[in-house]
Amino acid sequence: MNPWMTYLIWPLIKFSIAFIAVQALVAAMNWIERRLLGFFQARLGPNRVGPWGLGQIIADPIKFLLKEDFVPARAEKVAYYLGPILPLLPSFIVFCLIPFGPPPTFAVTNNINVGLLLIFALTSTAVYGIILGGWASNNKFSLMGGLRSAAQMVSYEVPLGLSIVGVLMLTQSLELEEIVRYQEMNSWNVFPQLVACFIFIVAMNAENNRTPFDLPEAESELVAGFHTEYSAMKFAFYMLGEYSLMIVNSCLAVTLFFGGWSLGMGGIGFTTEVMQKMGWVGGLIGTGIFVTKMMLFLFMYIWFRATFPRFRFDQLMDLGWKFLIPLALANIFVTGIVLLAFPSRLYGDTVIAVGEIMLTVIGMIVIALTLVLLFKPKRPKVINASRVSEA
Amino acid sequence: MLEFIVFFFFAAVAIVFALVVILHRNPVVGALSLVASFFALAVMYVLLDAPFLAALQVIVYAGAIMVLFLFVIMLLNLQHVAEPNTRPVQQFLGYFASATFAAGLVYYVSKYAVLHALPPTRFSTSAQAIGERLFEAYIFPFEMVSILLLAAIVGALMLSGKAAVAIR
Amino acid sequence: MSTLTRFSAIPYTGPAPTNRNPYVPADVATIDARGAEIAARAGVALEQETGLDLPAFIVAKEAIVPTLRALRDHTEFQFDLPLDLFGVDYPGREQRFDVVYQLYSVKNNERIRLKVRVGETESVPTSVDVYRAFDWFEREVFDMYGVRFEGHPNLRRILTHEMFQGHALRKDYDPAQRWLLSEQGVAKLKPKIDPRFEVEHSDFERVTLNLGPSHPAMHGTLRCAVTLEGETIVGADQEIGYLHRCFEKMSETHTYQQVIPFTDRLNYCSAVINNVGYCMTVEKLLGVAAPERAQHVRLMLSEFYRIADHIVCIGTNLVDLGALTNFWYLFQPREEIIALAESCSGARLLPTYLRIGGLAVDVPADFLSNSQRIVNMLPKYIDEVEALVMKNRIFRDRTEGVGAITKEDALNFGFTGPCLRAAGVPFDVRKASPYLGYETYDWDVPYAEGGDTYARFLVRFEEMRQSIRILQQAIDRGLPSGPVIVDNPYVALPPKEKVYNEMESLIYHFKLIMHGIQPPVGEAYFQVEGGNGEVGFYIVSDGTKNPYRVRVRPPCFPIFEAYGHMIMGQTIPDAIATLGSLNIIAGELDH
Repeated sequence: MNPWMTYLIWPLIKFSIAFIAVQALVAAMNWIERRLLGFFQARLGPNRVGPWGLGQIIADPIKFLLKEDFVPARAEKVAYYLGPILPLLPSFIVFCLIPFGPPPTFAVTNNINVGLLLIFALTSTAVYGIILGGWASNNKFSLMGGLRSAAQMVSYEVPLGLSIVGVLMLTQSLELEEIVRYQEMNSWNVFPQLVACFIFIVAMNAENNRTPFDLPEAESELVAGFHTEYSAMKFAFYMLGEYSLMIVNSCLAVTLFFGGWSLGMGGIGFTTEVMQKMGWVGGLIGTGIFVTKMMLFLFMYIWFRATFPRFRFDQLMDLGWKFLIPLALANIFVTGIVLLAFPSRLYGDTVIAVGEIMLTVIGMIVIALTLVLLFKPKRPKVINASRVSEA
Repeated sequence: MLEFIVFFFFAAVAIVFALVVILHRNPVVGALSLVASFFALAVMYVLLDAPFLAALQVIVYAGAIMVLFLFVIMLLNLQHVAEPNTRPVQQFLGYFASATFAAGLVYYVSKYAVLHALPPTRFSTSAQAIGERLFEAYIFPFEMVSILLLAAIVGALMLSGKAAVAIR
Repeated sequence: MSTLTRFSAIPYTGPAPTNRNPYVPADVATIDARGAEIAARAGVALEQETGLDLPAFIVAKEAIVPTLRALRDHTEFQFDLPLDLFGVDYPGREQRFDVVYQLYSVKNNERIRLKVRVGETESVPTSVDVYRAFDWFEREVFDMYGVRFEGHPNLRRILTHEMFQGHALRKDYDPAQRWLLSEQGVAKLKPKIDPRFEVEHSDFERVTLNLGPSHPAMHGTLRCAVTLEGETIVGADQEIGYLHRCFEKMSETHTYQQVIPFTDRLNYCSAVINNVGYCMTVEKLLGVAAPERAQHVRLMLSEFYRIADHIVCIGTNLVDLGALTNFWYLFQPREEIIALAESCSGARLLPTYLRIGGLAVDVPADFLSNSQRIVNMLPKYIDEVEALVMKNRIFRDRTEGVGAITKEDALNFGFTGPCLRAAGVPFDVRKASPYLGYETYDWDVPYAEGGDTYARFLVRFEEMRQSIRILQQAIDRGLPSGPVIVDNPYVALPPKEKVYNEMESLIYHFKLIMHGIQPPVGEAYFQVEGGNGEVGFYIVSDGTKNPYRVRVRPPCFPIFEAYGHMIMGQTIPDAIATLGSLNIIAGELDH
C-alpha cells in the first residue's frame, strides 16, 4: 500500500474519528455526571432542556461558545492561549492507541511494541497545560493551583507507573492487546494484582485532579485554581481535557486490570476467539463490553466525588510518597518472589496457577490491613453531656 | 520519501526550538521550547526504530524533569531578574569554549555517525532486549548510577532540610 | 421630644411621650443585694448603681483596667468571660457617653454590668490586656461614638469604612447622611505577624494573600489577609464591615415592632431565635410575658431553627472541605423546617413571625403533626451524615487538631455557644438562665475536648440530637390552649372584630398604630442561646415609641476576632476548615 496512505491519511482519518468520539463522550459525561450527582445529593440535576435534560449536552457547548471570552490584561498571551489546548492533545492521541475491541482491530493505530509506555509518556505531558494556564493568568490563586498541580501530578505518576510493573511482570508484555489476551486466558489482573489495582485507581484519581485529590482547583481555597481566569471556550477546553483524561484513565484501568474487551477467565467465557468467530458482530460486542466496563469506572469517579472530602496538600504528598510508593515497591517485590517460586507461563496455558492464587490472597490481606489502619481512630470520640451549668 | 519529510521537518523543529531555548529572554518560554525540542527528538528515535527510547525520552524528560524545571522557574519568578553585567574577557572565554566544543562535536559526529552507513541489521530495541542488556551485561554501571542518584537525593535533602527545620 | 427624633430622616411629629414611668425589674431587691455584696468583697472601689436588671456599677475611667483585672482574677467571683462592650450616648449629660462592660462568671453563673462615663474629648484606658475580646469591641465603640481608647494597639474603624466621616451612633448624627467609599479609601491590610514567627530567620519569601471579601470560602463577605511563609500562616488580619447595615442606628428610627424584621436579618440562618431574643427583651422592659401557647411555639421554632442553623454550618463546612453531597442532602430536612415556618407565617427564611407580647398569628392546625414528621425524619439524616464523614479518615485528618483553641483562650476571647462548648466549657444560656421554660425539659449540654474543628463538629451533631429531644418532649406535651398574644391593649393590637365593633378597641388600635409601644423609661438586657452563641439585646427606652438604644451582642463577633489567633501556624486549607466550623454569619457579625 502507498506509505502516504498507511502513515498519514489513514491515521488522520482515524484520529478524527477518535476526536469526534471523545467529544461526544465528554459532552455526554458532563450530563451523566450532573445527573448522577443530582441523584447522590437528593436533587434533580439538569432536567429542563429536552427529555431528562438531554438537550443540556448540546446547550452547554453553545453557551460556552456564546460567552464573553475574557483575557486578563497582564496575562502572558501565548502561554495563556496554549494552556487549555495542551492537555487535550495527548488524550486524543492516546485514544488512538487503546484497543477497544478484539484484534481485527478496533484500535486506531497498528499494534505498537511499547504501547503502554507511549500512553504513559503522552499522559504525563498533560500537566503542562495546567501549569501554563496557572502561570500565564497572572493571578496568585491560579499560580498556586498550577504549582500544586505540577507537584501532585509528578508525584502520583510514580506510584501510577510502579503499580503497573506487577502487571507487566505477569503478562510479560507492553502491548495492550497482549495484556488483554493474557487476562482472558489466565485471570483478570485485578485478582493477583489487587494491591496494584488499588494503587492504580487512587493514583489515577490524583492524576486527574478529581475529588478527593482536586486540590489544584479546590474551590474553597483557591477560588478555581489554575482556571480561575479562564472563561468561555477556553474554560470548556480545560473541562474537555479533564474528562478526556478521565476516560483515558478508565480505559487503561479496564485494559490493565479488568480484562479489556473480554468477558471470561482461564480461557472460558466470552473470549477473543469466540468473538472472532462471530465476525464483526463479535467485534461490536467486545467494544460494548469494553465501554460498559469503562462506564463503571467513570461512575466510580463520580461516586468518589460525591463521597469524599478533600485532602490537605501535605497529607496528599504523605499519601503519595510515604504510603503508595512503598506499597507499590513492596508489590513488585512480592510479585517477583512469587513468580520466581512458581514460574509463570505465557498465555495459552489455561490452568490457574498457584502463584496467582497466592498473590490474590496476599493482596487481600494487604488491603484488609490497610483498611484497618485507615479507620483506626487517632483519638477517641470525646463528647460529654453535662448538667453542670444547671443553676 | 515520507520518512525524509518527517525527518527533516522534525529536525528543523528540534533545532529551531533549541535555538529558542538559548536565545529567548523568558525562562518559561525557554523551558517550554526545550519540551518541544524533546518531542522532536523522540520522533527521531521512532524513525530510528527505537520506540522504547522515544517513550522513555518523553516520560522522563518531558513528563517529569521539565515539569520540575518549570515548577522551580515559576516559584522563583525569574523572568524579572536583570542579567548581571559580564566583562569582555568572560564573554571571549565563553564564546571560545563554546566554539571549541561545537567544533569537536561536529568532528566526532561526522566521523562516527553520518559518514558511515548504519549496520544493515536492524536494532533490537524491544523493551525485553534493553532490559536484558541493562540488567545482565551492564548491571554494575546501572547500580553505580543508582548510588550516584541516591547520593544526590541525600545531598538535596541535607541542603533543603535546614530551611524546613527553621519553620517548625 | 427625644433627641433622637429631632435628627431623624423622617421627623417625628407625634406628641411627647406620655409614658414616663421608670422601669423596675422583677426581682430588683435580690439583684441589688448581690450587687452590694460584690461591691463589698471585690477588693476594688465600686460605686453601685441600683434598680437595674443586673448588678451594675459605675467605675471611674482611670480605674477601669484594675477593676476588670480584679474581677477577672477574683477567686470568688471569677468574671472570666467578657460578654460585651458598647457605648450609649446621652448628649444632654456633661460626660455624654456611657461605655458599658458586661461580664459573665462561668463559675457562679452570674452577670454584671460596669459603666464608665466619658466626655466627648476624654479617652478610656484600653482593657485589651485583660480581655483580648475587647480589642474589636473597643474599636467598635471608637467607630460608632468616637471614644478613644488609650494604648489600644490598632484603634481604627471596624464596621464603617475608611472614608466615613463622623460617628454613626452619636445622637447628633443624621441617619440620612451617606458617605461614599472610593477606591483609594479601601483599607490596606497589613497582617500582624505572630511574635512566634517574628524572630526566626527563614529562607522563604513571605507572601501576603488576600482571602475575600469575595472568596468562595468566606461565607458572606468576610475578608482575611494572611501572610504566608511557604504554606504556613505567620500573620493574619481580619477585616469586617462589608455587610454593615447599621442595624442599631436603624432601630433608633423605627418603632419597637418595626425592629423585628431587622433582627431576622442578623443571623439569617436562625432568624426566629433572634426574634425571640429581641421580643423577650422588650417584654422584659414592658413587664409582660407572652401567653403559654406563644411561648411553646417560640421554643419549638427556636429549636427547629437551631437545627437548621447547625445544618447549614455543617453542610457548608463540609463543602469547604470538598465533600459536596452532605450539603444538599442535609438541605432536605432544612427545607421541611423552613416549610414549617412558612406554614405559620407565610415567609420562609426570615419569617418575622414573632411580635412583642406573642406571635403574629396562631399556628396552623397541622403544626404539631408536621413537627412530629420532621422530628421523625431528622435523626436519619443526622446519623447518615455523621456516619459518612466522622469515620472518614480524610475528614479526620483535615479536622483533628485544626484551628484548636484552649479553654482559657476561648473564654478570654469571649466565645459562647458551640465553639465554647467544643473547647470544654459547658456554658449554655438555656441551662444557665432558662427562658421559655427550658428548665422543664429533660436534655443535656454537650461539650467536647480539644477546641478544634473536629470537636466543633461533634458538638454541633450532638446539639442537634439534644434539640430533637427537646422537640419530642414539646410535641408530646401538646400546645397549650389560649391566645397567642397578650391581652394588653398597650402592647398588642385588639382583634379585628372588636376594632370594628367597639369604640374603645378602635381607640387602642389607633393609639398603638400611631404611637407604638411605649415601654417605661429604663434599660434592660436579655440573652438567648442563638445558633452560634449568646445573642443578647440591650435596650434603653426613653418612653417614646422608638427605642433610644438597641444593642445586639453578636456571638460571631468575638469568635471571628479570635480567628486570626486560631489559624496562626497552620495552612490555608486549615484556615478554611476552621472558618467553616466557626459558623460566622456576616449579617450578625457586621450588625
